[in-house]
Amino acid sequence: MTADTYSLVKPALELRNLSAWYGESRALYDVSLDVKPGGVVSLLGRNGAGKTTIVKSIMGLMNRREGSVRFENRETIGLSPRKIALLGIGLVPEERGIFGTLTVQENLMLPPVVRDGGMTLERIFDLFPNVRARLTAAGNALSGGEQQMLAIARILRTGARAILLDEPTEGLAPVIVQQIRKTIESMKEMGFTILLVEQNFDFAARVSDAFVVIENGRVVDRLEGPLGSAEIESVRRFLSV
Amino acid sequence: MTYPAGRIHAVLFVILCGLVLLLPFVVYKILLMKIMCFAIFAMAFNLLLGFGGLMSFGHAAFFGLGSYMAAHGAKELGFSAIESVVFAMVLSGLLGLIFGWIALKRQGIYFAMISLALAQLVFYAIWRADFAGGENGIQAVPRGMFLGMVDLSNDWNIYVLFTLIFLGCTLLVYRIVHSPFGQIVKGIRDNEARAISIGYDTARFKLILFVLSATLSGLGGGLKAIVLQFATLTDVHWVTSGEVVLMVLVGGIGTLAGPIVGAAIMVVVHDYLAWLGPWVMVVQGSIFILTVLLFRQGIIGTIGRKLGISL
Amino acid sequence: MSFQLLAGQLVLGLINGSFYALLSLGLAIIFGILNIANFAHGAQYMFGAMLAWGLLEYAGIGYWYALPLVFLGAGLLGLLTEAIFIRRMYHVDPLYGILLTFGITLMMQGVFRNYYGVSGLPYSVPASLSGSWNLGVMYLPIYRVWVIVAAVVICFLTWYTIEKTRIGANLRAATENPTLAEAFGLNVPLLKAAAYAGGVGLAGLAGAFAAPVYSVNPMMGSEIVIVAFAVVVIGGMGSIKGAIIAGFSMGALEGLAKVFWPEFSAMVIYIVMVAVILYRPGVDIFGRKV
Repeated sequence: MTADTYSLVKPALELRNLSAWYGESRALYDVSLDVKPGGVVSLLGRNGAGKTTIVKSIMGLMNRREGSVRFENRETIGLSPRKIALLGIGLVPEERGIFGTLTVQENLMLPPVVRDGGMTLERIFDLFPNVRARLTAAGNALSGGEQQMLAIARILRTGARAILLDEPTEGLAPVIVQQIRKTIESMKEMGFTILLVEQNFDFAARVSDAFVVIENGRVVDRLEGPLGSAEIESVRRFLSV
Repeated sequence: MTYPAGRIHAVLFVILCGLVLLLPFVVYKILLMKIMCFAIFAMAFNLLLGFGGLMSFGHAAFFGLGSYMAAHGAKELGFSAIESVVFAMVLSGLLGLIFGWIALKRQGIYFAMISLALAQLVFYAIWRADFAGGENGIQAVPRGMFLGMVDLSNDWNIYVLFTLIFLGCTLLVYRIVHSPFGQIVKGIRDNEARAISIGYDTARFKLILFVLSATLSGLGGGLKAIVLQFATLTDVHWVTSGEVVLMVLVGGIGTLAGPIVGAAIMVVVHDYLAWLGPWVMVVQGSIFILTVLLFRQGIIGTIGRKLGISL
Repeated sequence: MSFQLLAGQLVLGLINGSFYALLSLGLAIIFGILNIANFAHGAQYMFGAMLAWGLLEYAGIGYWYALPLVFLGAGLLGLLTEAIFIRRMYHVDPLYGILLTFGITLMMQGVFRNYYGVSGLPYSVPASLSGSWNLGVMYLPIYRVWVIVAAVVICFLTWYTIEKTRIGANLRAATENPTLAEAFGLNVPLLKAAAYAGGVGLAGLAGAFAAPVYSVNPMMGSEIVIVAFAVVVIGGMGSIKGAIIAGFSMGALEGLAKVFWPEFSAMVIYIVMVAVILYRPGVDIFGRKV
């Protein structure tokens, strides 16, 4: 059990002084943050603050990034997006990233299995019954909510232990948002390490253990959950300004 | 150190004049004239690609039509050399008007593809046309007389005439590029939406440029038919459309001197390495590949960039 | 005009159409997945025919063994070409891809012309497919029927592979959004190389089919490649199904044109191509966006 105890202390995902650029213009400035194994950390911030850029930088999708991104103690700076994915980081991208020319089943089976212990199709279908119902439909025929379920489902299959969820509730009806919250809660119970980008602070506050506030590509605040009402009020005010 | 562009181009033009004066004493005049014909063709193509940003993959249609029309005019219609070449230019220009009107409705790769398709139509039309002599082309085209006095079958006489036309063409291209029209065309190339919003009828400017380019291509083809005294299917084949791209690319897309240098290199490779037989194609292909892979700005473009000036 | 003439030209047209379809199929795959207009496709087709001829001439390997060997040989050529040249074109203007593959064409044609000249090399129809069927109205050479059937089967298999299999799904994903596909752990560079090799393999295979019907010579691909481009455009750039159907139908149309408008039959395809670009750009023949 000592190894496990150790890994509980060590963060699963560890960003140190991460900087990134879009072409010539700098988008991130020395971002540092940790996500503990099995923890859920939310990135908060206004539109254009750099939350999605952090997610892209972790996946190696920026053409230039510097600093350190360690996953389970392995440095990933210098690795290609593909190698990073194969280490076991799963991406649920912004706008869901469903391939419209592929069927639902093809989308589901697309990402290669990176580790043992991924969910079986049976379990996925139990979790997301609508995915099973629409297996033969084309990806671009799904509703936004169905696409979001599919985007999460296809990562659960791969055995990835860390999941980057970029705006999973954006543009979805409240009843679907409910369902996604339940999904994230059960993923948390299953021990997934989750980095969540969320505009909807109330949503984030319910599922997260810790919060990192981003502004102009920098970390401006860190909060540990559960939040007191004064903290909630101050974050809410910051986000709405 | 910066030089005024006008002075650099004046110096280049003087160098060019010196070359056309001196080279005929060292090199075959026929070869030099052939270079001039292809240089005019390449300059015409570069007007469209380099300054207009329009990649046509069918320019052999205009060069080839010019070649065939000049050959037909001189051989069958009793035209003098100059009349034949003017005849060729007018018809190529008219064809350019029609093709430009059609092709310019599309952009990018579709523009390239549509110009290729239209050029294929010209190829098959000429291949099948009775006057054009099928696979043999039109042979033994007479050079005739200039103004009824100067016998052009003398290589020196025709060389002087061609040189004057060629130098005139380079000045014309320089004028076009530096005229208000040329500025607008470059503006359209760099940002068409902006040019439209300022109020320019960009479609008309592009069409005028296309017709100019087609007419000058016809001039190149017509002169070629007169000096070499034949027109063949090669002139109108799609491979010739590819070769003119190669000339401009090797010299430097969007430079003034590049097309001339590129044409000279490709004609010299073709003629001086003729003893290599089919390996000439391998050499040409390698030049193509190396240019695309290693220096996409071409010879003149690369030199100009090193020196920080536009050549 | 007699029925014989019409039927005869239609069959001839369908044979040409089989080659158009096989070549356009490869071009469409390469264009769709790599965004490269592969002008070297005609030279790669020629390579396939020369390879089939060479296998027989130098190694005594006959037609039936040559077919798979040519597919593999041309595929290998495609892998090498992609690794050395094509992959350097992924991040530059597509114009340079056209120029580069044009250069490759000149090199390949030059090399083969040097060793084999321009006159045709003989390659006879395999014994098992020689002879013809008497249909009453016309004699139908068995080899030609075989070419049409084989082309239909190969086109179907290729379509099936791309539309219905796992590897096809990976290819389509890499086409639609290469960045995202890579972020899911797909090996996009490998998929592109495989697509190029597959397309070249198909071109080579078409060349092997062509060896007994057309003249085997170094320039044999230089006209048909332009037709194949026209067919790809007509079918909707990058559409697999569109390329197949446009290939067969343009062949048939050309055959009919030979009956009604013999002098200008070669122009028909280009007229259709111009019309398609003008009136239906960016749409495949089923009216779907590509």
